[in-house]
Amino acid sequence: MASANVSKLELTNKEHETSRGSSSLWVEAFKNLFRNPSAIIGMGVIGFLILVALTAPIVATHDPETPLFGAPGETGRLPGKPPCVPALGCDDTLHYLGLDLNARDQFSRILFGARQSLFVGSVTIAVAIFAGTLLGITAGYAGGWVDNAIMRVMDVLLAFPSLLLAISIVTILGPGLMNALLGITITFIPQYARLSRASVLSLKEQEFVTAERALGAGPLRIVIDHILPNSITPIIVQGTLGIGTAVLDAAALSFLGLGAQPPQAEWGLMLSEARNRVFTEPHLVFFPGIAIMITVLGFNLLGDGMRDALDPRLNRN
Amino acid sequence: MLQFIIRRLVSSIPVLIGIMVVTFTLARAIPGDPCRSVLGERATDTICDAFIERNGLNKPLPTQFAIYFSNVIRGDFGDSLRFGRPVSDLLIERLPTTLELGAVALSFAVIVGVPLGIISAYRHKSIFDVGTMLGANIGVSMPVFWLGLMLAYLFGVLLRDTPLALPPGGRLTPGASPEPFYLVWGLVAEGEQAGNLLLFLSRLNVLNAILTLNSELFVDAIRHLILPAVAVGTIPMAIIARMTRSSLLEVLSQDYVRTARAKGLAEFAVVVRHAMSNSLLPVVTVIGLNFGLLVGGAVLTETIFGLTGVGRTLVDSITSRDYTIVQGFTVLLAIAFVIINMVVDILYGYLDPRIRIS
Repeated sequence: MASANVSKLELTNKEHETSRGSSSLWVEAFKNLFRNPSAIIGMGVIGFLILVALTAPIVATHDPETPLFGAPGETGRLPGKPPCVPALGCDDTLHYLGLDLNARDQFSRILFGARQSLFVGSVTIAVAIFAGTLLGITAGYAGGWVDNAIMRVMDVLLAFPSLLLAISIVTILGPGLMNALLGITITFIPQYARLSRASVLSLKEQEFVTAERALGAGPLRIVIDHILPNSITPIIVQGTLGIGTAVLDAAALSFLGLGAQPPQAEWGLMLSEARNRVFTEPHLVFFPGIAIMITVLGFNLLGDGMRDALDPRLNRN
Repeated sequence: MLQFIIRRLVSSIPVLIGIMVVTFTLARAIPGDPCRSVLGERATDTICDAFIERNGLNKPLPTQFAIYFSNVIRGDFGDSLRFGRPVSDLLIERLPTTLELGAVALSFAVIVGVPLGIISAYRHKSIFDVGTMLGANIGVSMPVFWLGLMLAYLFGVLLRDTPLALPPGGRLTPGASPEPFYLVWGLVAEGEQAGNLLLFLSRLNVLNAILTLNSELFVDAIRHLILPAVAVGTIPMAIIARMTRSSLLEVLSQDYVRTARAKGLAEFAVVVRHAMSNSLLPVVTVIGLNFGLLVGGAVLTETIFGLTGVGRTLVDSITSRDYTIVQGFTVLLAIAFVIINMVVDILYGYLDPRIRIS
């Protein structure tokens, strides 16, 4: 009897330790994240972009969608004269990055473009993670024909080159930023479904899940309390890296005329509008592209850093 | 091994059928009337009725699918609604452009990416390593179409009068009309398929130049390929460099590498013979997976460099609702993707016995 009590006490102590251990695992992960140079740079870049997106109406010198015909700097469009761009050494005007082909202030358009890119990137991935995880967990937990049906559909979606699939979907839905967002989301769903299904399969048979089931917990409870928290790390990492790809895909769709529509200030669309003038006014192509690159780079760096910081396998090394 | 290959082949059949169903459904779901978008102003009701009848668009959808399915199996992709020519003819005409672009881009990615990854791993945490990984990070973050435009500007305008100048568009210098190798060799094709094959091969400019020993054509074709291929290949190159580095790093820390060093093997033998052969396994997979990126890159790059390849034709066809081309090209690209992944899996199984058994 006494020994039974002792072992019970030991058990509670152990339980206590494990629960404390799991919370400190997260604290440890965050500490690691803030020690990781690429994560810090990534967070810095993303923080800056969020700031730009939020303060765009205050910082922007002009309305991003209003043409400023006759403004100083538009003279640069006259034949034989180079365009006047203060950032490139011309101090003629108030338009830091010059005017675009419709005489709109490019600096303001780029600031406002940050809103579109961050919005598309984060919403796409959030929806894709939600839908993909739901499908993956259902497939993994239910097994049998449900698993087969869901995963074969995912296989087929993965069999298409992603940009091609997104183009096809947007063509059906009609061009526009929202439809582009939906098209890209669909191409992203399979990878989260696969990822979460794999986690469910490996966790489902573990002893702590079996124990919970023996105690009478229903499938929903097990999924929410045990499977989700244990499978979320790879999904978060994949999601952060995915935002970068989503931003690139959205820009590509806009570039092909299927995403954002004029006069929206969207970086891919700005590139598309200026692409035939690249030989005479390269700055109209250069700056929106740099903006896209910095955004994608920010998310990629953060994603890489998170993978290093959150992967317990790497921590122990 | 044979069992592994058969298992892998059988498991791709449902995916291939799924691809056909999805492509068929997507092509039918594109809004708008194909007749009016193809014939434009000329489309009267009578003409459209005849058009729909001729193309079988009035039959029930399952029947249309059955016809389509049996045709695809036989290699018949129907006639393009817009060009009025068989899709297979258009493919013979335009696939070489994309194939050449993809092949050069992938070669660039592998030839540059793998050595960069190896040196970074070997000189782990050196300036070279940090620089390469930073470069690789920037490489995967660049929009393909932006890189293409910037390269065109840099080499086509800024460096125009230097020896580094490169043409910013097209496949060959305007006016150049290379003689097909089969004419030079006096080959006469027997049968339609052999003729198509000769035509297809002769449209691969680089190959045609080699076969006809035409150095001028060879240089011209390569010069036109460099910029688009670098644009398409940069992202795969960065991914390959990162993958090579991380997998070599993992292998270099393993016991058998230490053993190899301990028994006094030369450093070169340790890295090249022992470590590299194992570390390049995951790289094979990455190269296979990059096919999707290459296709996406080709769509965008062909648009920028004015190349009439498969990617650009596909995008044009989607906007002009040319169902047959969209179906045919998408199915072919997706099937190619499945086959490439299958080949990669089999290759992987061949290289790594552990995969075969599981």
